[in-house]
Amino acid sequence: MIKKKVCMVGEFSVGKTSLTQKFVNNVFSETYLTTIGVKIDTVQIEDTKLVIWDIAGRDSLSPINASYLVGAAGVVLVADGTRLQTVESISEIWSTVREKIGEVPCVVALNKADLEDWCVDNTTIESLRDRGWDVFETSAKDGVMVESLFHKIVEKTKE
Amino acid sequence: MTEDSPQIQQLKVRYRQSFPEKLAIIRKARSELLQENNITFAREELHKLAGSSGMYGYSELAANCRSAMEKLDTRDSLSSLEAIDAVIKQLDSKI
Amino acid sequence: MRVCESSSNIKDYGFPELQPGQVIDDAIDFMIGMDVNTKLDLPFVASPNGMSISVSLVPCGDNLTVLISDVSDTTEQRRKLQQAANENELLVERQKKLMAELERASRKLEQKNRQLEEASRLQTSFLSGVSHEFRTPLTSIIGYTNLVLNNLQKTGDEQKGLADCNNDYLSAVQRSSKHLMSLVENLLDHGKLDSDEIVLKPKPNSLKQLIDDVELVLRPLSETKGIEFNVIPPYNETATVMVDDSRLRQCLINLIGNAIKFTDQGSVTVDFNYANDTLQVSILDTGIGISEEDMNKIRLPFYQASGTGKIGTGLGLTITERIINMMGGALDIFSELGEGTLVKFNVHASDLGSLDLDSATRELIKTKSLDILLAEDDPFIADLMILMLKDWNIDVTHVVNGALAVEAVQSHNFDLIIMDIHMPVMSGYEAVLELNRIGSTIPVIVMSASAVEADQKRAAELGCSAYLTKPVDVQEIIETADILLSQ
Repeated sequence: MIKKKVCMVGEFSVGKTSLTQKFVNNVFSETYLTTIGVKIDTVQIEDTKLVIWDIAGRDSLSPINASYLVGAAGVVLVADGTRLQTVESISEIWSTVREKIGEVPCVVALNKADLEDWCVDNTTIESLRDRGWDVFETSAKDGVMVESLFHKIVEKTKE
Repeated sequence: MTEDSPQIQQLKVRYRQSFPEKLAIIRKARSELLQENNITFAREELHKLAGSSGMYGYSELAANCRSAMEKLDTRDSLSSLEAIDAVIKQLDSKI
Repeated sequence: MRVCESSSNIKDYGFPELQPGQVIDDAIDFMIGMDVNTKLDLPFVASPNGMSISVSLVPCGDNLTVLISDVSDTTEQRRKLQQAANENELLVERQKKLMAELERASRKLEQKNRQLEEASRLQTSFLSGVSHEFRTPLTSIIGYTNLVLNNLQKTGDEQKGLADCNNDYLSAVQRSSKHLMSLVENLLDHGKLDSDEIVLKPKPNSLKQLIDDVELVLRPLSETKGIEFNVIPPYNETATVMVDDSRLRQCLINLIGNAIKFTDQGSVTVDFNYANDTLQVSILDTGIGISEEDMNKIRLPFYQASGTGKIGTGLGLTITERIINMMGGALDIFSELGEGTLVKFNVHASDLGSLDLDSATRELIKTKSLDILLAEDDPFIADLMILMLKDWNIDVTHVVNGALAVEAVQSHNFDLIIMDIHMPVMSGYEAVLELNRIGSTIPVIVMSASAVEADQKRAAELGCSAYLTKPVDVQEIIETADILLSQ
């Protein structure tokens, strides 16, 4: 059995836990509960055991703890499509990742696609794609593109 | 009827000068009929030409236009084309 | 990496019991991706049974020691702190976003408000402008008629030489009355503009005659002001053109009149060019010019540039531009404050050749003049019919589709309507239906190039008076009209 560790990273309150929970347990909650440290979930995708490290988001009190990234085969960069600054900080977070574990495979989730005050334009999405990342406009609430997101990162870690 | 006023004569000259333009339109209508079976366009343009040419005394041309319209109405494409060709030939001969 | 030994209390955290020799990452998920050399502290890891633990990986020799400890207490404190901080920050973000939206909305509202204020200010200044405009000629009319009345009461010797004096006074009254009349016409035109009632009545005109007329009207004005007035006619001024001369004259007098009005020294030069059925006019003056701010507003109804000391209704340019547009042309204004103004416009006017109109005058059989509305989209047919009917002393108003025909009927009394069937926007049949609906009783002659019986039947059903097949002979129209109108 192949085992792959993948980390969910991004600003606080972008929906890392929601995406993970929707994918692993098919549940969603509107209530915001901050993650402390890391929660580890596993799920079987075909012949692969995917171990998802749902890491606490970066916030005013704490930067991302890079120790959690050690041993990861790939990362999911998550941003909130209704808060532009969380999209803008993807680059910075990616630098942290690269410094710690190098150029691992990566996919981008622009989450909360179900909300009306979506503010990401096509130019921004194109510029993310130009960096070689697959970009998914996800909704943890409706489950839109969630499966695709995780399947893609598994596929990329196997390349 | 008395003779035409100079202005009317002038207008008639101008009408005749518009034949090349009208010829181009009828040719376009012919090719659209042939390629896209666009009957509407051909019928409209023939109708216009029938009206104005008759008014300017080109009764044969007007009659040909009307006969082409009738052919178009029967949806007989071969005889429609023949009739349109007759209109084109006639227009061409007047330029 | 395989297990050497393990303490039994790892079961308390929800991990499975480990057997020596077992592959470690089969049993413990967080060990996936680690090796014996990894030295790492993982604080606050959620254990399989939900406890918060701290994990330390410490390499020693060929082995790796994994230390696990319970940090539930610290985690709980930290969670509370962090939840509060994050929620607070989300609130701040949300608030910022709302503030930005609020500001945008308020800016929009402010702009709208300014526009409304401007519109209302213009209306008010229009009303005061109009009353002022009316008061000036009225005062002079009342004043001069009083003087005339006084003179008329005088007797004997006093009467001597008063006739000349009265003549002067009455001329002044006449001038003021004419001015009043033009004001009223302007106001009416503006009202018509609002309700789209202006229709064009093109007819053959001598280009030279038109230009001479305009010059004749405006030259005295320029002489009064002591400025140079140059009119450059087109090289082909002998052309006869199809145009609504009274409307064109109205535009020219308005634009050239403005140029003279706003020029106190120097010159006004009007240059006419005529080619390709288009009359181009440029009016260049050395007057006060137009500021950038005023330039944006002069086309608005009622607007009058401030500080010029000139008075008008502020409607002239609006009306003029609209008429020019109706004549298939456009109006351009180039100016800078203090640098004079260049006004350019063009209108469509079909060339009927270099003809002497007088020689075209023919004996008219018809003594009673008729007012006919012609709805026909083909300009060749329309122009021909207008000319032919004109020879019969018939006044033709021409429109190019059914909708305009209906509009024209609503604003003017016609004796007869000649309606083509196939027209864009609104067909002849639709127009007849609409005319029936609004209760028009004007006889309608339907005209079509097709002699299809169904069409004729339809026309009869709609109550049309006659159905003529193109080519339509004017004789035929006159005879039909005679029959219809004598009924």
